[in-house]
Amino acid sequence: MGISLTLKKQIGRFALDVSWEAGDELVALFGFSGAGKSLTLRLIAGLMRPDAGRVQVGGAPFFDSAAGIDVRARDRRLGIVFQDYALFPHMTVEKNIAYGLNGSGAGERKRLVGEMMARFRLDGLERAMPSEISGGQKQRVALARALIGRPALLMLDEPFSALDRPIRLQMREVIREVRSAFGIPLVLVTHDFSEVESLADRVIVYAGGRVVQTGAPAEVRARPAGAQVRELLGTGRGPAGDGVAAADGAAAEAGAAAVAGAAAAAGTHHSGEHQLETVLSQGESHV
Amino acid sequence: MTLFAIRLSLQVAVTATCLIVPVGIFLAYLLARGKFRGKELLDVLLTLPLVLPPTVTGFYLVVVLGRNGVIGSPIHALTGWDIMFTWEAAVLASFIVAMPLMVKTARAAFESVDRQLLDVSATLGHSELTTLLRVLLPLSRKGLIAGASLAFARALGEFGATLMLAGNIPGKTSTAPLAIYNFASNGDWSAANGLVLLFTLISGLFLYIANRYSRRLI
Repeated sequence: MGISLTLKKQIGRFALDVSWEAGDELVALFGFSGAGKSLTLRLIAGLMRPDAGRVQVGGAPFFDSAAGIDVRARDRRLGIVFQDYALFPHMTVEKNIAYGLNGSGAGERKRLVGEMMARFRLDGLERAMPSEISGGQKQRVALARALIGRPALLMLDEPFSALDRPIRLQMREVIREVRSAFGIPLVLVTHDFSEVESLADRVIVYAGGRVVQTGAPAEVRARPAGAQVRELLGTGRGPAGDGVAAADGAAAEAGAAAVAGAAAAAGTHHSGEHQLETVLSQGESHV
Repeated sequence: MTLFAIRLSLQVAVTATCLIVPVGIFLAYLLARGKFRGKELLDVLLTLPLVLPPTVTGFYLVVVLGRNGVIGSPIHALTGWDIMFTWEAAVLASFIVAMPLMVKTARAAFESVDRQLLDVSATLGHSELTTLLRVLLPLSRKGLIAGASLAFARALGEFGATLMLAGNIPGKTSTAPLAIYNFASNGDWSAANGLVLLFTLISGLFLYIANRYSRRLI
C-alpha cells in the first residue's frame, strides 16, 4: 500500500513543491537542511496544513485539498520520531511508552508496554526518567512509544544526528529490526548519505523544496542527476569514488563537513531556507 | 476589628485566587495556543488592571456592575441584589486586579514548553484536552504555582478597586489594607503597626514562593 503524496506549501519565500510515492519500503529523504524534508514529515503527520495537494497512507486519504479532506493529526495514527526524541521529561520510561497507547485496558497496556520494553532492550529502565538515560536509550524509548500503537507508517526525522558514532551504527541495526518486525513503510530524513546507503531501499533527493532525483541509493551514487546532487553527495567529481562511498568512518564525517560547508556557501535558496528553519522552529501548528 | 479585617482579607484573597487559577489558566491557554483575531488585544485588556490606577479599574467595575450599571441594573431588576458594598465585591475587585499576574505567568510557562512535545502527543492520537492535562499542565506546574502565589499576594493587598466597589465599611467590607488606612487616618498608629508588619511578612513569603518556583521554570 505504502504512501503517496503531492504537497505544495509556501512559507515566506520558501516554496515546497514535491510529489512522490513509496511502497512498504524504507525510503530516505536526503538533502541539505532547509530543503523541506522535515516540513514534508510535518505535513504528512498533519501537524501543518499543506496549501494544496494530497496525502495517502496505506490506502487511506489523510489530506486532499481538491476533495476537502483533512484528517486531524491525532486521527492519522502515524508514528514520528523527532531528532531530539521529544520524550516527556516528567514521565518515566514506562509511562512515555504507555502514552502511545490509547484506550486499552490496564492489563493489556502493561503487557504491550512490557513487550515493547523487551523488544527495544529497555528492561530495568521502567522507572527511569528520560534525563537519566543515554542518547541511544532515549532513541529506543521514542521508537517504542511511536510504534506501540501500531501506526501505518513510521517517520524518523534525523534520528541519529544527536548520537555518537558507535551508537549510531547500533541504531541502524535497531531500525533494520523495526522494519522486519513491523512491516510498515518507513520514511527517514537524513543529510548523511552513508546512512541512506546502509538503510534505505530508495532515496528521494530534496533540494530547495523540490525533488531533484529518486532511485536506489547505489543508482543515485553511480549516476547523480546533475551538479546539485553531486554536491549533495559531497563528491563534487562524480561517482569515481572517494572514501565516502565505502566508509562509515572518518571519510563520512569529512563528507558531512563538506556538505555543511557547501550548504553555508550555497547561494540561490539560502535566505528562503533560513526563513523556513525559523518557521519550523517557532512553529505554525494546526493540531 | 483587626481580627475581622485579617479574616476578611484572607477569605477574599483565597476566594479570588480559587477563581483566578482556573480562569487564568483557561485565558493563558487561549493566549498561548489559540489562533484568533484580537488575541493581543485580549492580552492588553487583561493586563490593563496591572498598570491602571486601581481606582480606575474600580470605576469601570462600578460603571459595569453598580446598581445602575450595564450588567448591574438587570441583575438588580431581576433579583433585587447588587454587588456594591458586599464582601463579594471585594472578591471581584481582587479577582480583576490580580488576574493579570496569573495570566502573564501562566502564558509564559505554557509558551516555554517544547512545542514538539505537544505535536508528539497529537500524533500519538491524543486530544487537545488530554495533551493539556497530561503534558502541558504538568510541565508548566512551577510557573502556575508562581502565578497563583503572585496573584494571591496581589489579591491580599488589593485596596483601590475594593474601596470603589465594596466600600470601606468596618466589620463588613473593610479588608486589612482598608483597616490600616482607617487606623492611620484616626491616628491609631499602634493598631496599624501590627497589621503592617503582618502584611509585610505574608506578602514577602508569597513573593519568595513565587521566586522559588519561577526561577526553576526553565
